Amino acid sequence: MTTLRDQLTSIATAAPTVDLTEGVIRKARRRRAGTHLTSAATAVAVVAALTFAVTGGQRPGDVIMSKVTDTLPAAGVGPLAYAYYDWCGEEWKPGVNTRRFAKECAQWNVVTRTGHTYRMPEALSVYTEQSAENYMNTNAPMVISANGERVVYYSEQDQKIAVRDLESGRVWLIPGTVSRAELVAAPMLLMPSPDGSRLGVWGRSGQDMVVEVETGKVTEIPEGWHVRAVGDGGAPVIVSTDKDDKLGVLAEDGTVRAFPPLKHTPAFDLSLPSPDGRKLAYLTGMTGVLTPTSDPAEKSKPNDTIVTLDTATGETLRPVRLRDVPPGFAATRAGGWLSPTEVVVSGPAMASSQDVTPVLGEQTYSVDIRTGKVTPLASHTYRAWAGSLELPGF
Amino acid sequence: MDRYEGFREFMGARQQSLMYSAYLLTGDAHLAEDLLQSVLVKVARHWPRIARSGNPEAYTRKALINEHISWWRRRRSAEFPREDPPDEGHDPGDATLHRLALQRALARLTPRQRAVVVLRFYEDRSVAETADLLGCSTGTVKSQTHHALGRLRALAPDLAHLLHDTDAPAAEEIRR
Repeated sequence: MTTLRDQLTSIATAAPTVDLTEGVIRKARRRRAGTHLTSAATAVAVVAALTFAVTGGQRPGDVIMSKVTDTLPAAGVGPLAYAYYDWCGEEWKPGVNTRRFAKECAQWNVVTRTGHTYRMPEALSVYTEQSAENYMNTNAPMVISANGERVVYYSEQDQKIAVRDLESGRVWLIPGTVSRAELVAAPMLLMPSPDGSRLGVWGRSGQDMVVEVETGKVTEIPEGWHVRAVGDGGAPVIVSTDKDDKLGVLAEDGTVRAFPPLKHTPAFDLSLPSPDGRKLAYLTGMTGVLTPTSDPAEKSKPNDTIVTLDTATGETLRPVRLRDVPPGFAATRAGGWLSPTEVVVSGPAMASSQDVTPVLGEQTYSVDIRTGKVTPLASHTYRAWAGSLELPGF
Repeated sequence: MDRYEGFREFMGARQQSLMYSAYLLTGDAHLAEDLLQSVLVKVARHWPRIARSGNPEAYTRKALINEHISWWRRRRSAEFPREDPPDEGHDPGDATLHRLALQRALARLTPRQRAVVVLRFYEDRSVAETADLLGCSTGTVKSQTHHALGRLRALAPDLAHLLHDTDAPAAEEIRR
């Protein structure tokens, strides 16, 4: 019989493996020597595409860096909970100090559901040559399939997008060469199907396609359309136009069957197709800006409705008001599905104060598409001034 | 002579075990690492004296508990805005859901209640040892244990079966 101690042990052993020895001794020596450093009092934190400002008087010597020493094993890795990088826990100033992050601590880290964290040196992370003007395109893509079992990343060595199965360790390279310079100039969006067997690519002209990962078979997307959500084999591929956000479905003959105009405007990302492939969901209803503001006119109202669409016809099946919404709910994106009727949504989770490094991350919830009931799932956080976090299915 | 002689060995042997306790106390991997590092830096600075005391682990664990409670007091308004457990991925398995529910409930205990649960039911410490580590009386430990378990029961009724085994000693201790 499971006891309280068993459960506490289970929680405790999910703590990441740490090796603090040398860092602790360095800090102890520095403090004994009475060395105190000062730093700028303002930093800018960027999470994914969201920008928000925090202020603080952080001393560089006090910043805790989550040093990840283990690299991803060749095989036998369990499903991932998330991936992140954190600019080494240091203050990142676009266009000023970006070049200095060509080092291990700025690489992508992947975290398994059991709490093991590994670095992925083979996956390009931050663009150290990026200009200040193009600072929103900060890092090479890293995407996790909704089941957590495959990661998609850019292999600079191969000049290709790669898909890796974590359990077997097998890596497939996606057809088409992509140079680092091309990625630095313009982002590429990667959208794996729930089990990672297919991959949607939204890139520059000629790169819009759906790839069968294991065979390399490519289905090109007709010009003017881009991939938005990809189901597993046999399930639909949802596409959209670039400008007016019109949706459609990719037919078997490679043409697009356009959907009727949407009755509600999607907040951001659409969900993946539901497990039966027949539905798609998205959040709507949000107004104002996402970032903290003192301007009443810009006060935001979070999304309050979940909409489901028929993936065959594009007809709106039902808009349902969210209920049991927890305080602080700020989800904007829909991702994978927990069950045939529950979709996972996500929004930023962050906390900052004047004297410590901010906590950044994402909060996920499940939403029942029949009732609108919102249930918190998990908060994935890391401590940094800037960085990015990727969740399975998003 | 290196003033940190023996400290590396101590870290090699005990830091992960200390990390487990820190993680249970904070409920967040990064805060746990933060907390542990902060305590260990203090331990390292005074290592020769602490090593001479003969039980550096006990000293470090006591410092960990005190620092945890102190952090909470200083930072609770800024650092703990959510009641949800951080750093936990979703897994639809029952065991994970139970673990998630327990983490969520633990996050809503006071720092002292949480410390009592960790010391008594994770580290298997006696009432007297717990009192010593927390710097309070054994009576306070007993009442904190009682309140902590009661609150866990209220916050996570689904986990009542986990708390069943804790009932008898807790009730007995309260009566003493």
